[in-house]
Amino acid sequence: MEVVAKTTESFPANPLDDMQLSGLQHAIQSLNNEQLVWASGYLAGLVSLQPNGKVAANESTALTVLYATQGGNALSVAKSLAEHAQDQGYALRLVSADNYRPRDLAKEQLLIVVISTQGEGEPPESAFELFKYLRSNKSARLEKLRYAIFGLGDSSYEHFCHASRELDQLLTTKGAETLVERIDADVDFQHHYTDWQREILHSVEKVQPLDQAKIIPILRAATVRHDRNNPFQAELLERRCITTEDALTEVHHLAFEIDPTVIQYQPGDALGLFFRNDPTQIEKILSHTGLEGSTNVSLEQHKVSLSQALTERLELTQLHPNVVKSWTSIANNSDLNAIVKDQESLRSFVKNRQFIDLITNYPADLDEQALVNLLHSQQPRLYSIASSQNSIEEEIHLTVAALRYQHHNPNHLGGASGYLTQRINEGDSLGVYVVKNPSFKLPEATDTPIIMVGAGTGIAPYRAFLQEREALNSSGKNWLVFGNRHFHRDFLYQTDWLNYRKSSLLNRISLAFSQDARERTYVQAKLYEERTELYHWLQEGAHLYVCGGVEMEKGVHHSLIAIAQDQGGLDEESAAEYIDSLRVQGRYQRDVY
Amino acid sequence: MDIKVNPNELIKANSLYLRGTLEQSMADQATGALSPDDAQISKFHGFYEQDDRDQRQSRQQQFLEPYYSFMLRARLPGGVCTPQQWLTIDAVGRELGNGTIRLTTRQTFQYHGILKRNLKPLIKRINQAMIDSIGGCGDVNRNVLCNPNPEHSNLHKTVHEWATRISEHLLPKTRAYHEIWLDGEPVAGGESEPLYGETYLPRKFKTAVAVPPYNDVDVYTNDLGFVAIAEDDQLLGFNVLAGGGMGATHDDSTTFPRLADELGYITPEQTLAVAEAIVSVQRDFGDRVSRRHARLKYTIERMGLRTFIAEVEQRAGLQFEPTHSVQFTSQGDRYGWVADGENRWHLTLYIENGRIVNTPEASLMKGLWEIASIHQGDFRITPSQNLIIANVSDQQKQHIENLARHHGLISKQQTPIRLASLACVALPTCPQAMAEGERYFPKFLDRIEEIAARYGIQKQAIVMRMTGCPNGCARPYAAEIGLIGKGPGRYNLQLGGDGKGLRLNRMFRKNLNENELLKTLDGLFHLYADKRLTNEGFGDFTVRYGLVKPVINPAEDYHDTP
Ligand code: SRM
Ligand SMILES: Cc1cc2nc3c(=O)[nH]c(=O)nc-3n(C[C@H](O)[C@H](O)[C@H](O)COP(=O)(O)OP(=O)(O)OC[C@H]3O[C@@H](n4cnc5c(N)ncnc54)[C@H](O)[C@@H]3O)c2cc1C
Ligand SMILES: Cc1cc2nc3c(=O)[nH]c(=O)nc-3n(C[C@H](O)[C@H](O)[C@H](O)COP(=O)(O)O)c2cc1C
Ligand code: SF4
Repeated sequence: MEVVAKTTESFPANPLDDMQLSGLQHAIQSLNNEQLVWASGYLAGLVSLQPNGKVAANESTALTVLYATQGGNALSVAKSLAEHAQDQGYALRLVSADNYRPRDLAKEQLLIVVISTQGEGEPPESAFELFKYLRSNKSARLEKLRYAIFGLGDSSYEHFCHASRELDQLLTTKGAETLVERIDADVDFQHHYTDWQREILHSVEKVQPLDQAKIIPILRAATVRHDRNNPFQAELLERRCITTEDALTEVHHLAFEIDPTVIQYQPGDALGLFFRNDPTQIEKILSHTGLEGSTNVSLEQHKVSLSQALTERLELTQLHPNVVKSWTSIANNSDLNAIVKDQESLRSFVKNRQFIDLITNYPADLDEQALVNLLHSQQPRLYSIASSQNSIEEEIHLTVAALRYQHHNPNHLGGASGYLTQRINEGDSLGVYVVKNPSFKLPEATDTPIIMVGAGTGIAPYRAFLQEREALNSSGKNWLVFGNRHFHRDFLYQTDWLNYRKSSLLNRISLAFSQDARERTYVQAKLYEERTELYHWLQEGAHLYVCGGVEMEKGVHHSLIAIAQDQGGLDEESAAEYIDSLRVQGRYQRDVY
Repeated sequence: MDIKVNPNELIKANSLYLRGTLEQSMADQATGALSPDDAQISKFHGFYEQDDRDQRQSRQQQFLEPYYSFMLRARLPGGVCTPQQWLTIDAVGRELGNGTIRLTTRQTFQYHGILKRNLKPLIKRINQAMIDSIGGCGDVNRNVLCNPNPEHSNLHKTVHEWATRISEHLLPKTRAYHEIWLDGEPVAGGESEPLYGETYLPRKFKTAVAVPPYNDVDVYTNDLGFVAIAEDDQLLGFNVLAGGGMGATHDDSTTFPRLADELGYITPEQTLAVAEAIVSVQRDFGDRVSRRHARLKYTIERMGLRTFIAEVEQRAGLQFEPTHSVQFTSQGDRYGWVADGENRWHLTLYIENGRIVNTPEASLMKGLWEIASIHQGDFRITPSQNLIIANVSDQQKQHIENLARHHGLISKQQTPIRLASLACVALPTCPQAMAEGERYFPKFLDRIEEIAARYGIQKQAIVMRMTGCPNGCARPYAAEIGLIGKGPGRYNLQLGGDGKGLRLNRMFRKNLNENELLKTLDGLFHLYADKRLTNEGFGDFTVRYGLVKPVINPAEDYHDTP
C-alpha cells in the first residue's frame, strides 16, 4: 500500500509528460497491490535487461549510490540507504557498478559506494571495469568528488574487505576526498549500517542542501518482493542423488516449488536460502554446554527456545574468528588465547573447524542467552539456479554437492549442503530469495554463440542456459565444456546434455574427467587442446562463461591467455589485454565460488 | 511390390565394408555407447554393445545414461590356444575387461565390461598374441567348432587343421578391422568381398566339425556340419550336414529349433568348396526381410532339401556321395585325465558356466595363469564351456594336477547331472535375457541334485540346459531337460532330448516359477526312478513313457502340444 501511495504522490517530479503519465495511471489503476508490486518489478526488470545500456550521470542528481555485489548483501545495504535518503527528499540514483560508466566519475560530486569482496580479495564481477579504469593511469583526476565507502567482507578470509580498501585508496590517489570514513563490515554487517546511514545522511546534508524537486520514484517501485530479509517459503518437490554410490562427491538435484507471480529469476541468477542445522549437532552442543534446549532466549527482539535458535537462526558450521574470540574470553584456555592473538593462526584455526569442535576441545561455562549472543546469525548460502523459468515456470532447480570433510572431528558436513543433501524431505519448506546476477547472463542476441565452461556443480547454470535457449529456440551455437572426476560416476545431467545434442541444441561438448585416465586432465587443459576451435568461436563473437571453484577459474583464465597467445600470435601482455577486453565487453563472464 | 528389406541390410550396405562411423563413435567422449548403426557394425569386429541391466533403473534416476560397456568375443577355431596366448588372454581380461574370462559354448572366450576407451588397446593386445575377433559375431561365419577329442591326438590334429582352414576361408576380406584397430594402412582403391558381397550374409552362420562317437560340438545344431569319417586316426572324409539351429521366438510358431539334414559324403579336398557353396546359397537365397527367418534352416525349409542340395552341388561342382553311417554316443565332455596312446596326457577341467574368475572359494584365474606359465602343450576350450589342458608330458602331469587342485580347478566330486549341464550368460550383461542364466543356474542345480538323490538317480547323467531366453545359446532344445527363460524367475520346461544331440526336446510345461519347476521335476524324477528301463536315459524315458511326443519334423510338429 505504502509503496503505491509514495509512487503516485511523487509523480509531479517524474520524467514522464502528462500524456504518458495519465496513460500509465490508467494502465495501473485496476491493479491491486500484489499486481502493482509485480508490475514495478517487471518495469525494473525491463531496465536491468540492458546490462550495457548504461545510465548516463545526471548532472542534477545530488548523489549517486553505487553498489557492487555478488550475493546481494551490498545491494540490500545500498538500497536501504537510498530509500532513507529519498524519504528525506534527496535526489539520487542507485546504480549497479556494471551499469555505471567509469568516465562519469569525473562528473560526480557525491558518491557512496557499497562493495563486497569476492574471490581471493577481488571486487565483484560487476565492478571489474570500474577497477580497471581506476587502476589505469589514464583515468581522470577526481578533485570534485567526495565519497564514502561501505565495504562488506568476511574476516575469515585472508584478504578481508580487500576490494573496499583498494577502492578507497584508488579514489584518494585520484584526488577525491572522503566524506565519511570507510567501513569494512564483517559478516554481521547488518548491525553496522544503520549507524553508518545516519552518519552519511547527516554529512550529506551539510554539503548538499535539500532539493525536493528531484525524487526518482521508480526506485521504490523496483524493490524486489522477497530478499534476504523477507525470504519466500519454497516447498521441496523433489530431491534425488545424481551421482553413483562410488562417486567421490555426492551431488543432489533439488526442485523447489515457487510462485512465479512473486518470484522471478533469469538464467545465471542464484538462489539464496536458509537451512536447518543438524539436530544431532545441536544435541551435542547442548550436552557439552549442559544447557537446556527448551529455555527461552531473546534473539533480535523475539523470544524463541534455545534449540529453535540453534536450529534455524544461528551459524554453527562456518566458524567465524569473532566467535572464537568471544569464546576465548570465557574459556580462558592458554592455547586458545595464543591462537586468537595471531590473525593468521586464528584464520587457519577456523578454516576447517565447526563450532562443535571449538566447544568440545575448549569447554567453557555460559548460560543460554550468552551462547545466543556469542554466535553469529545464520549466513544464507547461495546456489546457482539450474533451471529456466521460461521452461519450468513454477520451479527452481538446484544442484548441490554435499560438502564433507574429515578434520578434527570425522565426517564434518556443511550446514546447508548437509541439510539439502541429507536431511531435507520432499514437502519441507525453507526460506529462499533470488539473487540476481547481472554479470552472468545469456547474450541478448539469441544468435550469439556461447561457450560454457564449468567443473563440478559449476555446470548448474548451464542447464538453465540451455533450457532457456531451447524455450526461446535461440539460434546461437552452444558449446559445453565440463570437468569432473569420473565419467561413469559424476557426469552431472549427462542425459540432458545427450538429449540437447540429439536435438542439435548443443553443438559441441568437451569433457575432462580427471581420475579416469592415468594422467589427470582438467577443463583448462581441454580448452587448450581445442584452442583452434575455441579461438574461432571467440572470433565469431562467442560469449564465454566460466562457473565453479576458484582454482578451476584461475586455471581457465591462464589457459585462455595462453590460447590468445598461441592463436592470436600475441605476447603475454596483449593476450591478457585481449582477455580483459572480453570481460569489459561482457563477453567473458564468471561465476566463481 | 514393396517388401522392405531389413534395416540391418541398409546399415551393412552403407558401411563401406564394415567401417561405418566406428572411428567417430570411438572418439565421442560424451557417451559410453556407439551410434546405433555402429553398434550393429561392431559385431562384425567381434564386439557387442551392452549395458549393466542391474543399474539401468538407478542410473536413469541419476540423469546418467545406462552403464554401457562392451563384450568382445574372440575367434578361436576349435578352441585351441597356446600357453603363451593364454597368458595374454588372462592379462587382458584382468586389465582391460571386468576381471573375468568367459568360456563360451562355441569354444572361444569372451570379455565382458570393456569400456569404450579400452576397446582399441584390448583388440591390439590380443592380436599381438595372434588372436583376432573378426566375425566373432555378425552376419558371417562364426567361430568354427571342432571336437577337442583328447583321445586321438593325431586325428584331432588333422581335423582341427580343417576347422581352422574353414574358418580362414570363410573370413570376411575387408581390411576395416586392421585399419580401425591395428592402425593398418587404409586400402588404396576399392575394397571387395568376393564371397560375402557388401551386405554379407542375411544372418549369423555357424559351422562345426565333429568326430564320432562324440557329439560334444552338437554338430546337428549348426548351420553347417562336418562329421569326420576316419579309420584308425586317418581322416577319410566328411558327412556334410546343413540347416541346424536353435534360435526361436516365444509364441511365434513360424520360428523353431531345427536339427541339420544330411547332404552326403565328401572327401577332405572338397571341404572348402562345399563350405563356400553352402554359404553362397544362403547369401543368395536367405531371407533379407525378416531376420527372424533369415537363418539357413528356414532357407532350406523354403527351398526344399532337394533343390538346396542340387544348388550346392552345382555351385561346388561336385556330387555328394551317400552319407557314411556313424554312431554318436554322447553330448558334452569327459572329465579328468585321459591318455592318448602317444603317452601324452589331457586334463579336462569342469569350469562352472565357463566363468574364469578369482573368488574367495577358488582362484581359477590365478591357477590357470600358473599352469600356463609352465605348461608346454596346448589349451582347448570345449563346446561345453570347459577347458582341456592338452598334451601334458608324464613329467609335468603331477605338477599341473597339484596346481589345479591347489586353485580349486579340480574340486570336490561334481554330480553327473551338474557335469552334463549348461547355462547361458543372460543377466546382467545380455540385452536379450528375460530370466537369469549362469548367475542362478548353480543354485538351481543344488536343489535338483537333492531331488535326484532323493530318488537314487544321482549317479545318472542328465543333460540339463538353461537359457535366459528362447535364443538358445546353451543349446537347450537339444538337451534332455531344457529350461527356457520366459520372464523374471520363470521358465518353460522342455523334455525329450536323447542325451546325444540327435533329437530335439519339446515344451512340456509353460512359464513355471522355481517352485513349480522343482515340484514338476520332483514328480518326473520320481516317475523315472520307478519306471525306467535298464540304462534308459531320462530323455528317452520321457518319450517312451508318452510324457512328450518326439519331435520328428520341427517345421511341422515342433509347436504341437506334448
Ligand atoms: C556366450 C554365448 C552363450 C554362452 O553362455 O556361452 C552366447 C551369448 C549370446 N548370444 Fe548366443 N551365445 C552363444 C552361443 C549360441 C548358440 C550355441 C551355439 O552356437 O552352439 C546359439 C544357438 C545356435 C544358433 O545359433 O541357432 C546361440 C543363439 C543366439 C541367438 C539366436 C539366433 C537365432 O537364429 O535366432 C541370438 C540372438 C540373435 O542372433 O539375434 C544370440 C545372441 C547372443 C548375445 C550376443 C545377445 C545379443 O544378441 O546381444 C549373447 C551375449 C550374452 C553375453 O553377455 O555374453 N545367440 N548363441 C555363446 C557364445 C558362442 C560363441 O562363442 O560364438
Ligand atoms: C554464487 C555462488 C553460487 C554457488 N552455487 C553452488 C551450486 O550451484 N552448487 C553447490 O553445491 N554449491 C554452490 N555454491 C557454494 C555454496 O554456496 C556453499 O558454499 C556450499 O554448499 C557449502 O556450504 P555449506 O553450508 O554446506 O558448508 P558450510 O557450513 O558453509 O561449511 C563451509 C566451511 O567448511 C570448511 N571447509 C570447506 N571445505 C573444507 C575442506 N575441504 N576441508 C576442511 N574444511 C572445509 C570451511 O571452513 C568453510 O567455511 C555457490 C556459492 C556461491 C557464492
Ligand atoms: C566466493 C566468495 C569469496 C569471498 N572472498 C572474500 C574475501 O576474499 N575477502 C573478504 O573479506 N570477504 C570475502 N567473501 C565474503 C563476502 O564478501 C561477504 O559474504 C559479503 O557479505 C558478500 O556481499 P555480497 O552479497 O554483496 O556479494 C567472499 C564470499 C564469497 C561467496
Ligand atoms: S540365450 Fe538369450 S539370454 Fe541367454 S545368452 Fe543367449 S541371448 Fe542371452
